[in-house]
Amino acid sequence: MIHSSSSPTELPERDRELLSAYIDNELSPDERTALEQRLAVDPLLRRELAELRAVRDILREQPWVTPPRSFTLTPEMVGVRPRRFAFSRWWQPFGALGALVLVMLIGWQLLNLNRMPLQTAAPVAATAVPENMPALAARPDELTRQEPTSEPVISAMAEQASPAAGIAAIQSEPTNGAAREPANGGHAGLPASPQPARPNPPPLPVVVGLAILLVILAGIWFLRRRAE
Amino acid sequence: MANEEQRLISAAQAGDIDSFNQIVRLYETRVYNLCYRMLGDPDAAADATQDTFIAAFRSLASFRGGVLKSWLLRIATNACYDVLRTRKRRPSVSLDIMDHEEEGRRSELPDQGATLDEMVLQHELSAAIQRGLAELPEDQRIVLILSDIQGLAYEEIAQITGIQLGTVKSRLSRARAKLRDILRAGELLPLKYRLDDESKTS
Repeated sequence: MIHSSSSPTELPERDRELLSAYIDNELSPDERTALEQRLAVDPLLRRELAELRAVRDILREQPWVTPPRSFTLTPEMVGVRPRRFAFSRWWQPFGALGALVLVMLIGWQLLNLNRMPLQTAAPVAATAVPENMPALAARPDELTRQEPTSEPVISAMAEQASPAAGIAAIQSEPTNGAAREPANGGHAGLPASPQPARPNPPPLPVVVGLAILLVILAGIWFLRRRAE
Repeated sequence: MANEEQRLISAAQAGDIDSFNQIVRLYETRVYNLCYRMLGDPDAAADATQDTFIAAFRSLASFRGGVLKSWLLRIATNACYDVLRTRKRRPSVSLDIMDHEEEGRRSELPDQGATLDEMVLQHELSAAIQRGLAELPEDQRIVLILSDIQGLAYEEIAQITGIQLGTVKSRLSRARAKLRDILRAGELLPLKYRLDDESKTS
């Protein structure tokens, strides 16, 4: 520790900036060369450089202060509850898919309900078929005779319905013919209604169960979001 | 190291506090030292450091890559400025600042091979440096701390403080010159930095 006899230097601010940047090796090559040429002939500049470097070195030699404690975070500090599992990550695609399936099933059910009047004849006819089947088996010639009669009806249905439904109707032709057999014989006034073979909709309890499941999942999600 | 840090960042961005706490352990000493040198008070520095990491966790989603150290030090710098603004509004805060300085210095790492005289000298010098830093304007102080204590390059300092590179140079040179004057007035420039030592020219 010494007493300094020197007074503050009177260097221009620009020179001090150059010296400071020179210490940190932050000058361009041209600036560096020019400054070194000046340093070689200017004692005042050299002294200023030595003092600034001394300050820089003193600061760099200062030991780092040890923190008084750890600064790790707890969930309470940041208002986050620890997650038991990454629920919201994986369930969302499945939830969306489930909702889509539910909408489709409900739509299916509704369409089925709208067509109920048409379909009411089908079970009646279907239940009639087993009773008449032995008769048909006994009279195959009548069955072949009825086919030309049923063909226009089937083709008319095919025109109205989709091609797939038409194909399904043709595939079910023997049954329709068999169903029409008693109609021609015993119920002359009742028009035959050959229904295309549609897959049966899922039973209502399945749809309701799926809906309840999705509502429960949505409720869990909502409660967790509110809790967070 | 960089990959590991990136993995920790990604996990922390997904809300994993344990991963974020590993980041905290990596940088808490650096952040605390910035706050301590900037505020000169261990308690205020600890609070600012804690605030820094809480703010960092909450805004981690906005971190779009880059240097995490610079990003954290920028948050820490802002936290320090908040404390300093509060002090200006309520200037009666640090009546016992000297006690705090003593407490802070006690926690500094001792030099294992130092003699008693050297330890006393180091103690005086540390106190003088902390007082000198406190006398600097805040905008010069932060640049001096980032450059000469934290050892960052000018480019990083410009990013952290949000100022131009030329401004970094000018503030740093002014801060060094002022601190030099403070140390000189307190007769605290060590012998090896005698002003008449003209042999140090490069």
